[in-house]
Amino acid sequence: MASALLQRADSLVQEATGEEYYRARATTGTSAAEGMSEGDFAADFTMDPFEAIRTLLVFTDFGLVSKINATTWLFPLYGKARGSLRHRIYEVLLHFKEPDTILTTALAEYRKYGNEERLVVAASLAADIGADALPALRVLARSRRPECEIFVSVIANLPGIRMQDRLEVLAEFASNPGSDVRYSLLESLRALPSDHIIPLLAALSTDEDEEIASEARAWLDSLEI
Amino acid sequence: MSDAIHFDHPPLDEVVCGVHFAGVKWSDIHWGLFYAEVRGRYPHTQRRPPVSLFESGGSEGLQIELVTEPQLPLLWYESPDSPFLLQVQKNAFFVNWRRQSGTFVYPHFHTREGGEQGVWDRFVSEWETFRTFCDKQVIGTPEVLACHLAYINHMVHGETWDVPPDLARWFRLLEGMKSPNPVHTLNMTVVYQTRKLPLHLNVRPAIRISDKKKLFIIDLVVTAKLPVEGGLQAWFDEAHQLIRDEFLIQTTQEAHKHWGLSYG
Repeated sequence: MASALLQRADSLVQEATGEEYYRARATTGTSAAEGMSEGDFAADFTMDPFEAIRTLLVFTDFGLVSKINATTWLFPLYGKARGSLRHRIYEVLLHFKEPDTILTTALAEYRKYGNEERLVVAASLAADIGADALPALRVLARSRRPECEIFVSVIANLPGIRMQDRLEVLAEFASNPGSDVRYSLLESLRALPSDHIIPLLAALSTDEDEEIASEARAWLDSLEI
Repeated sequence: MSDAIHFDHPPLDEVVCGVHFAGVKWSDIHWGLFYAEVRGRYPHTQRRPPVSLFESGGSEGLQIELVTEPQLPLLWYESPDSPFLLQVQKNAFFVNWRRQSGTFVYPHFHTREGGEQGVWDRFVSEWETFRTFCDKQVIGTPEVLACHLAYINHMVHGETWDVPPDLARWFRLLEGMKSPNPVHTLNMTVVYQTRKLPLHLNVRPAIRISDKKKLFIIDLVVTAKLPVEGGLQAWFDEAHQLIRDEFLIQTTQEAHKHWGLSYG
């Protein structure tokens, strides 16, 4: 008897709360959602992708899902989609305007699964986002990664940025270890006014890749004439 | 005790009556055995993650829990024909009344003469069912440690507001939301300490699942220990009166008119 009482007392002590107040959150039967998980979105998307995207927009618009999370969930689905759904995903990613998340997600997906299309789409979105994508592109350029090749022309043509900023970011590519990146830089310089590109051409004229170096030297010579 | 007020069309979406208990040795098998007791009224079940509503609010930071057994879930017992939902977990028991997209009309907290069964009376009868079940199974008698009463109102976009400051038309608490910058959303909690019980008034954004409309949940919640000297009924009557009075104080004359308030 005494041991039964002690056991009961132990149980009460373990389960009783020591503080004077409790969490005051209603334990509802969920007619309203106060958030959405990636799993919820994925399940909705499987059933009706357009409706799932519409719902995601409502949740992000009301601050119940961050645009960063929404971009992370949505970007990988672009490659699997076709036709008007693909177009819709692109539009919504543009609407979220999260270039940093787009680039991070695209690079992670590319490393994991390959397929350059992922990078091409990210580059296209960055180009369409415009000047607001510059900080994310600058970080990418400084990373010296080989995937920068796809993004060189985006920076060379990015609308709405100062020439000085453009040239500073492009200069990062001149020291990229990947010769494809440096060659891409050389090609992209054609889109810029001649008087701005001389320092970059000068850098490329001493490139370890003789093809790049000789082409840059020839171009420099033609400008000096 | 009678409810002294009535709203023809309140913004109320849900009411929750619940208790936190100890002293019951609940195990997996009891979900099914309890289902056999209630399936006439609640033919459907859903497994849900357990709620931690009654955990101490004292330590908000990192908590490390050593788990030696799989966590028992929360189980829902429900019926499409009833506004009532039972939520049962190893240490908590709730009865929810749900509007279910307007299918059901709020029956009041206490049953009224000639009216539908009130939320309190339903809670009492289901709690008795649960206690009797525990006794019958010889798994202990539930000892109530704390109680929970929540009134959950939905203010739906396009119906009661276009921009969040419009809610000040209905809720005095939100008056004075003036800023040169637009208010995008609201997320706030006010705690009133009156009549020995703490009342939480929470405002937060959500999306109505049925039609994906934006809404603000404005709920009034009392969760507190059951005093040794008081009974369940006294606690819930006190909490109900507190919520009702605060709701009347916090809502505007215009709201009362719009929602069809009458006394008696």
